[in-house]
Amino acid sequence: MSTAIEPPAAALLGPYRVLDLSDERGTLCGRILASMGADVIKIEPPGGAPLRGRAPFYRDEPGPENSLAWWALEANKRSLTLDIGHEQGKALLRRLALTADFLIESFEPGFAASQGLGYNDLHALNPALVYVSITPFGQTGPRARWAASDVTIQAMSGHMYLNGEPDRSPVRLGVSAAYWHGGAEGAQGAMIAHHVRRRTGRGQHVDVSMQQAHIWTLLNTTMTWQLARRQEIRGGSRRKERGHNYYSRHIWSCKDGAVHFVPIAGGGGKSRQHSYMQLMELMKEDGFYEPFLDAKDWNGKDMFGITQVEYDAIAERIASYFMTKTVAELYDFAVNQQLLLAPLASTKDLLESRQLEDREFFVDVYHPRLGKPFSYPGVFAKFSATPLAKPRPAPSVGEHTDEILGELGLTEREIVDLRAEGCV
Amino acid sequence: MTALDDIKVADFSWIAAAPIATKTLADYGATVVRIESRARLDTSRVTGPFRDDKPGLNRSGFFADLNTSKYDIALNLKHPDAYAIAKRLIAWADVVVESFTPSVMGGFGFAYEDIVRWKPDIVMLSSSMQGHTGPNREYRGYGGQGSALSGLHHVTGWPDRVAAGPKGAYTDSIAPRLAVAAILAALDYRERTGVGQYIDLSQVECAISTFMGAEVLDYTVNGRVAGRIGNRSPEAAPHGSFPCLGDDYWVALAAETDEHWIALCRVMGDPEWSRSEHFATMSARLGNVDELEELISAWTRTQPVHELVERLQAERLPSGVVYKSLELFEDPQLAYRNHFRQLDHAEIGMVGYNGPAHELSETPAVLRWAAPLLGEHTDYVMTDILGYTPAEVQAFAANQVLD
Repeated sequence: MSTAIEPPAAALLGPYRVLDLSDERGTLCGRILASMGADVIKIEPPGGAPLRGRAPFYRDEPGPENSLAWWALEANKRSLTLDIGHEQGKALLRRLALTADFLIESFEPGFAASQGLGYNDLHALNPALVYVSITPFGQTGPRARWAASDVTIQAMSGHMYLNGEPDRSPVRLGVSAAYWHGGAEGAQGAMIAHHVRRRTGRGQHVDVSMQQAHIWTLLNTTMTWQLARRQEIRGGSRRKERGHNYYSRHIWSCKDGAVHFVPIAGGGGKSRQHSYMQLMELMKEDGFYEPFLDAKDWNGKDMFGITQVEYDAIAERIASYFMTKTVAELYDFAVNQQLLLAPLASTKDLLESRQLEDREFFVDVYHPRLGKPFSYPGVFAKFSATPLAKPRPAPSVGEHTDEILGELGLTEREIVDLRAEGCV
Repeated sequence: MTALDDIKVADFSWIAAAPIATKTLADYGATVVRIESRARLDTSRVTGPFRDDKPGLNRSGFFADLNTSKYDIALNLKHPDAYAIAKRLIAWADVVVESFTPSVMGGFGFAYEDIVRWKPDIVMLSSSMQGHTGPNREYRGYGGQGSALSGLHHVTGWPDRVAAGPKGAYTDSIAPRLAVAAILAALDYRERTGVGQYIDLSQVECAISTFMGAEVLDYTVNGRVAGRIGNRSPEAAPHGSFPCLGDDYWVALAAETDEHWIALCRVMGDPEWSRSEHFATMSARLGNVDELEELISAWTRTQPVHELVERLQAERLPSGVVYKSLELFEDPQLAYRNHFRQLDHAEIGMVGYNGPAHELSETPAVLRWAAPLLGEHTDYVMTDILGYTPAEVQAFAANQVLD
């Protein structure tokens, strides 16, 4: 390795502090920065953040320290309770902002400014601050203040229309995907702005739109409309995708569960040709092969002429074959022969995955308050020089208030007074 | 100055997840050189949708959308003479990005362990389906498989049917945001310490780590396996999408508080049924959700969706049209935000590219040019960036090193 300019810090983002005022909608952003080693301070209203009321709960017992959503999203952060509606609370936040590199908020556009804590206010105070706002539609525009929830944002991204069964309503992803994409987009934007600050010394406003973030999940839908004037529609386990004028199947039932598999009609390419050829070999071995299955080069030169009749004949044969196989048999074959097939894993399957086990993805996190460890999902990537921070339990309400105010230089007396006023 | 114009990227990646990450870097000003080859075409170039349904290597909207602002060199890495050229490109770069199965870069002589011997401070990111170690490291896959493997499929759809989604190569949209954050954090670390590093990024791990946290803990802590609940919420009702007037139009709405419920009733005209004890509290609405959804659907079926949403929004109820793809192009907020950026392309023509999902106030992204034709910048990269003479470039082309 080359000569160090300064001694390597223990963590990627070790020198940086983040003030996280966001609620459920933006909080993944700070979680990502915290896993990269930033000092993330969650600023909660006195009494605790609303996310603490979000199910599921530890042993199904609601309580401010029991929300598993809180555990997952606030791990690695510190907690400071602060009433930003209170004058002294605002003053404290401004003081903290002077020590911070990033601030994350997800209030309705205009709210932070109405409290004297908007981008312009804090940027004037600390020009180096990167100020990240994560909202459903962005800070300005005709619908910036529209009321929204994860399901309505998924709807307005165009994704939801494409999920579900033709005979039922469009269906959302079963997690708060619009919020999570917004948070991840915030982390990406924050790091781009941070790079600029490293060069210029100046921070800026990162203005995230969850609607736009979730549109990115469509991948080819918007081009399909523009180039071919075809609208993709939902079809449950079958869909019209990539501008095809026929339905193709993505989900297949087998003996003991279901798998995701796109034998043909997935866009072709060598890996899909190989995948399909391997399937043919397997079907031959088991006596399920029929010549019509590979009468044409479905993933190569013939991929643009597939008809619904042809597709359905092939799909029917594969479907009846898969009913003779277990998920594990098919997945083993996929791993060994590079078949483009995957099990529809449940959370139980994730914990039993030999791949994730081999990579030591899940980690035991000890909870001192409960006196035992729980298994958490691990970090999002493996860094060779600066491994990401393994989860540290999410803080209890105001757990680090004294510690953080002490670091700010407040005396014990001042802290007692703030507490008496209900400000922290 | 643009945000990232001091960053140089040698981009060996292909298909979707990693190219989306390098597109973001390029749209913010990084010099990104994509290495492609006719000998091994990027799947996204041979995948539709194509301009006017006419297939062609330079006609795919899928490829186009993910590759704006990049330079493109056609270099056949399988040719023995390609090594020296690619090595020169990596020597020039701050960052190497690749998304092959793990053995491929090593086969070219460009595994991280190889590169680090002559370029110790390189930052290299490998984007893969399941990571570069472990028994499944050579597993090939696209984002639809990533979504299935990370548990997203299992929780999406109806409880009485097989999983329904999500649509498309879903984890291809989760991994790139984390990849960009990771690369920039590693560059910051390198600037502080002089130390580069290798980032092994698995799409499946990205998705579980950031999207499935509470669901995983519900299993490891409570032993409960998260299942499918359609559009319902355990905490709010009504919550979902409801049929409207016309062909396959739907309204999404979420009454998460009593105030939201009262607002919804007001828009419905306070019908008799809404005053029933069955719906008096959130827990009552949750307990009678089948009946509630049926009654609301009977009403929404008589409503034109766009006007209905305007009325619901006037009452501050979280709501929206379940957009069909063409409606994205009619959305006034997306137009205001300039989400679809019009760019002209030699074979595709003028078309709207997806822009960034965030705005930077001081150094905004600029989609500098439409996606490159295959090998569009071979000469420029070879001479201006890598310093080869035109005669050398001609010789490489004659030998099919440049294809």
